[in-house]
Amino acid sequence: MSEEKKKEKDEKEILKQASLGNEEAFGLLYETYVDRIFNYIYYRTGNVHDAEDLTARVFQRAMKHIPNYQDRGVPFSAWLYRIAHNLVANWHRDRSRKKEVSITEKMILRAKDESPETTIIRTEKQDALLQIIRTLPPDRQQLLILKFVEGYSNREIGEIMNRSEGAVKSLYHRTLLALRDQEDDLKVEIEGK
Amino acid sequence: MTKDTKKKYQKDKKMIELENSLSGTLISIQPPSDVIQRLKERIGKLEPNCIAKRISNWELSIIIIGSVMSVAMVIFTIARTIFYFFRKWNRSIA
Repeated sequence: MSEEKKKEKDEKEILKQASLGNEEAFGLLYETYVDRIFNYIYYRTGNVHDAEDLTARVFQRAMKHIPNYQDRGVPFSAWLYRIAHNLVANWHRDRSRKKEVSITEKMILRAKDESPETTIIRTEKQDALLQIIRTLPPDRQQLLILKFVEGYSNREIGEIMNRSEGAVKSLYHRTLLALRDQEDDLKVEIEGK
Repeated sequence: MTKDTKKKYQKDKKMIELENSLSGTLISIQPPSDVIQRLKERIGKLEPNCIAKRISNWELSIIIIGSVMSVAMVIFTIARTIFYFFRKWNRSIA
């Protein structure tokens, strides 16, 4: 049995236990996915405080509804990402604002396996691009986060976003084109000033 | 190189550059340890309304009431048995 299939089988067993109310099993799921969900929400909201709050709500909602969870052949992460996606959408609707990352927040966060100094320089350099990304429609933002932050393949992204691999590929291409155009517009604006 | 090919090449180059900046910008973040700790605490504790919702579930209520009544009956029966033997023992002494 391949390592991936074994992992999948283990996760199915954990899921079964968690859906029967085993808190320890749910704890294992939490340990596995908390970083990914936090990352996703952080990039969608742009601040640590709301990312923390929404991540907690994602897992609270998951814990509440896990007895009704049905395995439809898609990864469990797809279910969690869907909850996160809906909560972030509600968050944007409720507040109708898009906060930018503050300097203090940039300093708190650091990339995995990197020194804090490296990250601070990096974030400052690419702030403009992050701002452009946050103006994209939610599905395009989700695609970019899943692709670059989580390193998922088009097939895996398709499973999470409930789209075919081809549709993901096409959406990715359109997203890149839109980003390129917006980047050009921004450059023209800066040069004009 | 024709004009069209040159244009396409420049476009492709731009796309590759964009992909490179995306992979440099969208990096996996390590959530601060205090955030993870607080999250664990929040998720570990069931909110009062969550407990209330569980109690409002009628199937669970029946099970809880049934269990309480069964335990009460067992305690009552044991008490009666003890009382019966105690009385019998008292009579035999008398």
